[in-house]
Amino acid sequence: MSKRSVPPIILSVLFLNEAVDSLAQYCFKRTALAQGAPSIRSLAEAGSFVTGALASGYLWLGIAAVALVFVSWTTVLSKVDLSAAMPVTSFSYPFVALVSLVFLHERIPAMQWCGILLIMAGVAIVSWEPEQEKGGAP
Amino acid sequence: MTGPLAFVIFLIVLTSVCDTVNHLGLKACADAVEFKVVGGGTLVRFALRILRMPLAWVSIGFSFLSLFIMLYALTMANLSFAFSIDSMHHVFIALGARIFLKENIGWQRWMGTIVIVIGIVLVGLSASA
Repeated sequence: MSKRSVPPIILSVLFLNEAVDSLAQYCFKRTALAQGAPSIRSLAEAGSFVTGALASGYLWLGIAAVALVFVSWTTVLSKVDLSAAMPVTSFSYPFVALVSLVFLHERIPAMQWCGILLIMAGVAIVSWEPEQEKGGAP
Repeated sequence: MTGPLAFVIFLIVLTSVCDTVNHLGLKACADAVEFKVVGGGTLVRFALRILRMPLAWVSIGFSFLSLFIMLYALTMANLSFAFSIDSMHHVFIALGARIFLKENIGWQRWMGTIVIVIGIVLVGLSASA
């Protein structure tokens, strides 16, 4: 099946998608930071947290980035198989860690990096489908 | 990490559960629409048919719920930590697809799922250390 091979241009788009997705996560973290340290104990407090978040430009930038990734992802899926494209999404884990390290100055201990690499491997294994076996999704 | 670890992990589990409901719901909608997507035009028609189903809106509601719970978790947790732990939705989706959608999950998927769980445990331990 020819859709199993991923041309370099599509591969670049897939990696770009993960980069944009990491940017979205960065925006969500910035939205959260702007809310200070809220403690939500009632529905009213939950409501004011949501309104506060909705007023943040970062939230909308993040949602726009997610929407962009969604459109680009569905377009890519019309060109290649899901099981061929999906393993690339596992790169979002190290990408978000790098964004956190560089732009948010988070401390990431060695054990966490090991965990992140295992998660990445696990996601790749879960989504990778060998060519001969075509079970599961219709 | 500025919040209590157990509470932050509880919130992230909650977002993963919401994500799982969202994915399973949308998958059930997509299965209910007997339609072959062959190009951009049919994709739009496919999306419109799905949006006519109440279950699709329940699913979309859960994805927003998931986003806001995650935002709340992020007021207490590092992004690198929260995003890694959130990978447990892959595990929940595999379980949910098996239990509710009766999908066949091969040994390779279960193996990958176990690797993800070990990774999550390591990330969790790194925060409690």
